[in-house]
Amino acid sequence: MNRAVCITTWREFKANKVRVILLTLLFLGPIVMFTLQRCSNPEALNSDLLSHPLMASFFTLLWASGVIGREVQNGTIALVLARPITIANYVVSKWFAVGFAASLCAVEAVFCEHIVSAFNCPSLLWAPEVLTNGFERVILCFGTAAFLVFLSSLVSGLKDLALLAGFGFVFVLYNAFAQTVYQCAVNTAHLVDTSFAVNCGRLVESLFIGILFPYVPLSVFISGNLFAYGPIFSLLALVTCCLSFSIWVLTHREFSYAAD
Amino acid sequence: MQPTKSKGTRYQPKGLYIAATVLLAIATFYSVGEQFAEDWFNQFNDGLSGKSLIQWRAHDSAVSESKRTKKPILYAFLTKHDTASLQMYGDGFHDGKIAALINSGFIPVRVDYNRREYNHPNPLTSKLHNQYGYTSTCELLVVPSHMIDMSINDIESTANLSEAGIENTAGLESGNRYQYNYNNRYRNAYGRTDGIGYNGYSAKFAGYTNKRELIDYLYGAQHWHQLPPTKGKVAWVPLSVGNTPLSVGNTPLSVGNTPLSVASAPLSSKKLSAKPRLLVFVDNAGSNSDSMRLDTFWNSQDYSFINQNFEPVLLEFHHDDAAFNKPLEAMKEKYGITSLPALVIESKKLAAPLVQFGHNNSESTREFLKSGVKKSEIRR
Repeated sequence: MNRAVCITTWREFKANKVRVILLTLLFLGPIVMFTLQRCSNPEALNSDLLSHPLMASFFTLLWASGVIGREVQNGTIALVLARPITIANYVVSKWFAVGFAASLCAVEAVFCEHIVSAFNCPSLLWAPEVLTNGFERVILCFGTAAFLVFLSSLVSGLKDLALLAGFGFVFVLYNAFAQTVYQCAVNTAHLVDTSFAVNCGRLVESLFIGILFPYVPLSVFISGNLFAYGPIFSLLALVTCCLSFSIWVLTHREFSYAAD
Repeated sequence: MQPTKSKGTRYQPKGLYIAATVLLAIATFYSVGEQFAEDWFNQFNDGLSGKSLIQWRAHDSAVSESKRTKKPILYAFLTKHDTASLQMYGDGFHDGKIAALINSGFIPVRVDYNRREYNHPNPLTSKLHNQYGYTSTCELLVVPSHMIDMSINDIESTANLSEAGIENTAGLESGNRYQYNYNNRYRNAYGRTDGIGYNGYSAKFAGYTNKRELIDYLYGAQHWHQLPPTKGKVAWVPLSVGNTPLSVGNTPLSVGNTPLSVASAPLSSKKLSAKPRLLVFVDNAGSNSDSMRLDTFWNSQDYSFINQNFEPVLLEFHHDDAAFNKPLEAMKEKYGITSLPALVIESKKLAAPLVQFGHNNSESTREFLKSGVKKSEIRR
């Protein structure tokens, strides 16, 4: 991992005023909402008085959009790679920089959200609900960051957002199609054994969900004696595969010093 | 020249590729296996397995135990691979206080449902689904011991004003019971954090929010249907009057030689009016009886009409309590009543008693009462 690449990524973000404004709004929205809720309903902390870990995905999207694509578009990637750094190192550094920054924002947001409660009762900061919510955000940030880095390595500029929108659109279309098929399967269940088709459909659905929302429900782990291996393997596979594909794509691509 | 030790820019990280391939293979194997060989995988990945603090019972033994101990049955409908069910099981049921509350106040029965079983659902799931029609993938339902054979509509319905959360009876009196504030004073009810309904007394708890709301539900649920249902504002005459002979014409009705109970003793000393007698057969549970109690016995138009024109007698049955109902069964048989609620208008001026079976709505009951009075007057 290259420290200079990480710092450059963060500095570049800071220079973009639109992103900084969006980041501020993303911070303030839940804080205002939950502060008002807490002031009007001064109860002990519970997981439902915290925003969902899904918020972390939005922070990651803000940090990761065009993280490699913009450098390809500007031609700066060729200059970066002129230094003694491998593409693999560059991609991993970008992923870490994005995941770390988004995690920091997301975790900070969750702590800020119940600052009113923490003011009255500081021990609440270490309540399991807050800790699990925070950890879930970190995991979600690094998982989503890997997929966004992969998308960004495929195109130049901010076209990775279009790719992401397209992927989401395909998922929505698939869901609508699958619902119809499931309904038909239920209606014809007494005539034909449709379980194979239904299982295949669910497999594709879980693939989409695993990529778009790599969520590992830690609260279940901590509260009970349960252990769900599936989401962990999916998350690790997503991160390693996305980084591998990004590296493979970039190592087989020619870069120009000139801007696109 | 010594070859450089630094890696080239386009260096391929084979270790990462191998790790990615292995992890992808495991994840694929896991996902495919989860779909196609679920039973085997559930050994490792069933979030609803493991030691539980709650003493779960089998369905059949729970039914007999409930009838014996009069404790309500608490059904926990949980779905495998469902987030709310996992949270309910992992977060809620593993809490010591909640487990103690369930073990002491209920007879808990777990009904695990697998969404993939819709082709061949297990018999218990089908039976309970047909009876209780649960709609959520994660749901708790309390069934009082005397209501085990009843439907979900009957279990959810209540005619106790406190249980129903009716603080303002103006709505009942005007016949608009759904348009007045409920749940505001008698108990501190509030909207659930997930926005699904109100927290307070209820037979159902759908989904999972947090421990606090689960405890709130359980405290209410253990008393569900334990309070007596309302009798409204009808001026009921004592039950023993129902067995006395009717008056003839305008001659005042005397109690005659029939011995009366202590409860009706004051009546024996005064003369009864010549009004037709209205016998009301109701159950202490069930949506139809509850509806009659709330919509007719509390409606000012109806109870005024009944008090003016009838001699109303309430025959209240206790559901699933044969010993209590035994003295009343003869009255049921006399009028050929097989289901509750029912209304009987009896008058010497009527050739035969008028009987209304069931209770569709307050309007039809009102029409029945008016027609009963009219027929009695025509005969007169």
